[in-house]
Amino acid sequence: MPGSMQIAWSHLVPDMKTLLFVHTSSPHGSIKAQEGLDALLMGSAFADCTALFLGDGILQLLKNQDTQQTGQKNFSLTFGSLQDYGVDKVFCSKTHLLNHDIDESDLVIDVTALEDKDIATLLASHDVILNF
Amino acid sequence: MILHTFNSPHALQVSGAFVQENDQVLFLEDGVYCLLGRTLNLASNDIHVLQPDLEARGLSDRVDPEINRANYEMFVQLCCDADSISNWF
Repeated sequence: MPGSMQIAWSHLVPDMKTLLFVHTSSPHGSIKAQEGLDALLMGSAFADCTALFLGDGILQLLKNQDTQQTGQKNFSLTFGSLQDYGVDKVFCSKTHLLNHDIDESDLVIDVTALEDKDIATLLASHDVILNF
Repeated sequence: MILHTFNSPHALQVSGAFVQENDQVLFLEDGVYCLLGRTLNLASNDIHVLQPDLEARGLSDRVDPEINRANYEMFVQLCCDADSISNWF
């Protein structure tokens, strides 16, 4: 697991901060989820970023979201471009997937599901934690 | 060492499991309600509560005196002493 938490170019810039974006808000009830994704995309321009989805945050990644009738932005489609922004470390909680009765195949992108203790390690291994 | 702040009982329910033994915990805003007559079940014993938020809710005498009371200056000190801060809400 530690090997997959570092990407190649971060070694070229030794003092680059590692940012962990923690997403815990459901997608359309408030602006928090959208703000979190926007911040992650901006952060990816200058730092080594990891995304972690916990609790209701996992609901942001559900397939088949259609906001046409509510007039909101369907930002679930944007997660597909995280890879293009260099964000290739995307995690979620195995426990919270189970709690929400969601399977990894129900999500719009590939996510690595972690045990609680590995999430604690992930938190400790980043310089900055940003919660949304 | 991470300083975990919890600002609601819901936040504790979702993310309390990610607190490690050597971490610090601060309850603030509606998070202070987490301290009413229940076992916290956290891996860390280094627990603090923001006194102004306790007082605002009339809970000063209802929360275990063993829990460390923090004023705003101590809140800042806790943040400065931590390697990183995770604000759970």
